Amino acid sequence: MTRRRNKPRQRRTTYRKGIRPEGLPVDRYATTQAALAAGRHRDAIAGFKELLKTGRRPEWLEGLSQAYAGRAADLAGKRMFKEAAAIWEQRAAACDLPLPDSRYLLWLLHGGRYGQAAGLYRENLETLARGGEAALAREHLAAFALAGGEGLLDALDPDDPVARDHGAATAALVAYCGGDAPGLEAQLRRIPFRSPYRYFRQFLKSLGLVGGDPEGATRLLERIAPDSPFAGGPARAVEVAALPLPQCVSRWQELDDEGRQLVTTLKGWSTAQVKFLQDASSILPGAAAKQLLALLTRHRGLMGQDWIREAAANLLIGHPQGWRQFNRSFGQLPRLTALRLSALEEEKEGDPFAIEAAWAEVLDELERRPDSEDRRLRMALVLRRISDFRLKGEAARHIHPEALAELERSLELDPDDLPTYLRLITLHREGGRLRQARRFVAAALERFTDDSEVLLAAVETAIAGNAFKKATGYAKRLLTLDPINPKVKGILLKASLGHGYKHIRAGRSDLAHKALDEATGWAGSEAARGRINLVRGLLARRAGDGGATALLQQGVEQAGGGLTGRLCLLLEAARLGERPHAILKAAGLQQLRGFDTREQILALVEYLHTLAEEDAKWLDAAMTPLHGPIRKAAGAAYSEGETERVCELWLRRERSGLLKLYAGAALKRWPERPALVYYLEYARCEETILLSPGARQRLAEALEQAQKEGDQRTTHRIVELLGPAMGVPPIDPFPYDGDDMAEDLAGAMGELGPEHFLDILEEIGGAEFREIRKQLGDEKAAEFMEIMASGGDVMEALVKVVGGLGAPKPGGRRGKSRGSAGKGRSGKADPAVDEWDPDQLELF
Amino acid sequence: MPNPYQTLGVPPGAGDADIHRAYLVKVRESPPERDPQAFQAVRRAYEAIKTRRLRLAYELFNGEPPVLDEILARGLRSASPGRPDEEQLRRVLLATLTCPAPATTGPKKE
Repeated sequence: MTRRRNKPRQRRTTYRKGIRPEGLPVDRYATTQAALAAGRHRDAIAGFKELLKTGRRPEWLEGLSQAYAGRAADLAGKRMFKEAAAIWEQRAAACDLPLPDSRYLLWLLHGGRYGQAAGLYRENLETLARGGEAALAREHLAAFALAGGEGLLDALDPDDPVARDHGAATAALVAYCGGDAPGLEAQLRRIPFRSPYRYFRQFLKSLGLVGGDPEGATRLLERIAPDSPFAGGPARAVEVAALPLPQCVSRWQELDDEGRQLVTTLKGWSTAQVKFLQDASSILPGAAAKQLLALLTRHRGLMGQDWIREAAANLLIGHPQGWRQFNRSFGQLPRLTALRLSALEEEKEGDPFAIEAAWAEVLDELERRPDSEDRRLRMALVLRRISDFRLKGEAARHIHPEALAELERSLELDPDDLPTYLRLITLHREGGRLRQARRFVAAALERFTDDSEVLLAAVETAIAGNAFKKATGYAKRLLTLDPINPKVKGILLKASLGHGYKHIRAGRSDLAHKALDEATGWAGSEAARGRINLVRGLLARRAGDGGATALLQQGVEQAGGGLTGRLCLLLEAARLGERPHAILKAAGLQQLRGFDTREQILALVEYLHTLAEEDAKWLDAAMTPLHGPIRKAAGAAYSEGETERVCELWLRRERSGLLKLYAGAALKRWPERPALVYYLEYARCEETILLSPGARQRLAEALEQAQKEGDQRTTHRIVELLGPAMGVPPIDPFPYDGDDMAEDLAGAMGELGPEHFLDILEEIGGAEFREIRKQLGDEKAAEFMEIMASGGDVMEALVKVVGGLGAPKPGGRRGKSRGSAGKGRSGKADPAVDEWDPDQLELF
Repeated sequence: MPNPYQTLGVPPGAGDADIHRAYLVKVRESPPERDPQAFQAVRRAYEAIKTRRLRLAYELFNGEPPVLDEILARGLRSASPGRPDEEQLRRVLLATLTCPAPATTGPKKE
């Protein structure tokens, strides 16, 4: 019999994904190493096992041991501690390695093999100590011993700290759970400082503080080392319990069952409350009224009857569909409450008529009730509420009488409401109804005799009625109560001066002096006294009194001197109808040299910022003589902030010429500052009405910069100015319809003057028009305007003007051929037309 | 604004004197220099209901619906915090004691 040769056994190899044996072990090794490096430990284990079948090379054994260690760690990371320990054991067997390792010990413990873990610890204590791992192992053993790990303590040496300190730790736990605070303290003191139970001490203390001192509890938890067994789950649960309610609720969801149960116990929540919590945790902050109402309805037993009814009722505002559910769950609301809620609902909707009607129904309902102080107060409050809506945005003069009647009626019901008196006094006074204002002043004074607000209102009302003596009487009373009240002095000063002006204009100098003497009594500042002296000086000048000049000069100095003092003088002069230049000369103050400085302008600007709006009408006349130094000072060395303040003032006071000058000068120092670009283009636009393409471009760039810098004010202003470019429909200042154009042009020219008009056209037309203007010359342009102004046709005017030019200047033609010019009505070539280049008419 | 009566810890029918007293107590508990936010809340609550007129105005015009936090606080208010018994505490510990992640996954030097 022939012996059959044994064929090599065909191995059936299962290839795992990623491992392809290429034939040679060295390729498989590289692949397996790669798997290990990539953390694919299962693949690496399989790979190394395959390799080891071909021989037990040291590097493959090393690789396998690493792969097993990695796999065990992966499982431990998923809290699969039993599995992790099993893998470790396989590692020891496969690689012929010792079993003991601190990681393995912890996995045994956390996997429930307490006795084995304790035995391992005991047998390898020296090794663990050498590796610095004994303390950590003891802490974990201690924690499980406390938690009731079976067989753990029996496997330990009785002198081991885990066993030695176990009694004290357990006693502390029992004391805490029994609510024995002194006992707890005593037992915790028995636990030594370096005991493996030391972090349990922190944990237990923090449990005790959760209710009374949550911040203290959290601080204690922070002292637990991160690798302590108490650091994770147990500390997290206590931390959640220590949080304020909203955060506690959201974090509670993230805990595991035991952790949630611990928090529930610590908080003392009932089963019903836990159900409520689970229900509420699905609702996000900012949830709609419907969801909240449903939540309240489902758990109304927890909330307290009164609270929940009110809370649920308030949810109906904005959710009127919830009424049926509300009535079903909480019973019908009393009529007054239902009407009140309806009115609040209407307020939310915003229809003023509906709001008034709804509150009127509330009023009707209150009126039906028996009289009581509360009922009257409520009615007064509702009347004031209705009145608030009626009065919103209304000017005092145009207020509907009913709105005032409601306020007045509210005082009949509730006569002790001071703010309503003051409101009525102001509304009547500003509306010109002085008799009614005085009536309420009297009524308010009767009730609130020494109230400063009432007395001030009385002063203002008396002045409005020209009852100056009365005003003075009230003012003196007020100043007795409030000696430094600046408002009343200011009001009386103004009133006295007003009287003074009246008498001066009427030529009653004795009475004027009397009024000025009265004003002096109210002047609380040097500037105020200066103003009075200026008026005295003007009065003296009218009377031909030689002392006028000295008075005027004194007044100017007292009012601030320099440009500011002179402006004050000019304002007073303007009020009295005097000619500004004449006054300056009469006062010997016409010399303005040296006033074109930064300091003078800043002082002037500060003063102008405080000027009352009603005085602004005199500003044009008053400022004209001072234009010279003001314009000259445009290039002074202001800071950027000062420049903006000055420009802002010119803007507010509509001084576009000065604004253009100052902004232009500032842009030379701070080119492209968005606010300055805005000021300049705004000023230009005020003059030209339209924005040129160049201006739009500059503003667009400034807008971008302003947005980058977060300058919202400038951004908003530029957007408004650009208007049409930003999608806002343009407002055509010259709504063009062919027949009106000539009239509009003539009108514009007449208003602006020839040179200015041409400047505008140049601004709009750009380089092209500049060239045309150069070609035409200003004289021809003026001629054109004369023809237009006398009602001539635009084309006719142009033909006449351009035809008079003769041959165009060199470079004026654009090279287009003649012959395309108009031929005139007769059909024959018109010599006047033929002689000029039609391109010259492109602008028109 | 949270319910001012709750903030001050007074019942809805409280009078001027009670409300003022409660306000002083709360201010002592949360003085402005120590807890400015709480103080502001107490101050706002007091200003909302310190007189009869203001209380009636609050009653008439308060339409502020409760927010979720307020509802939670109301629903979860407890008579007294509790404490776990021994069995529960040991059970919690057993379930939640944490195993630290190893520093290295490779074997240590033997």
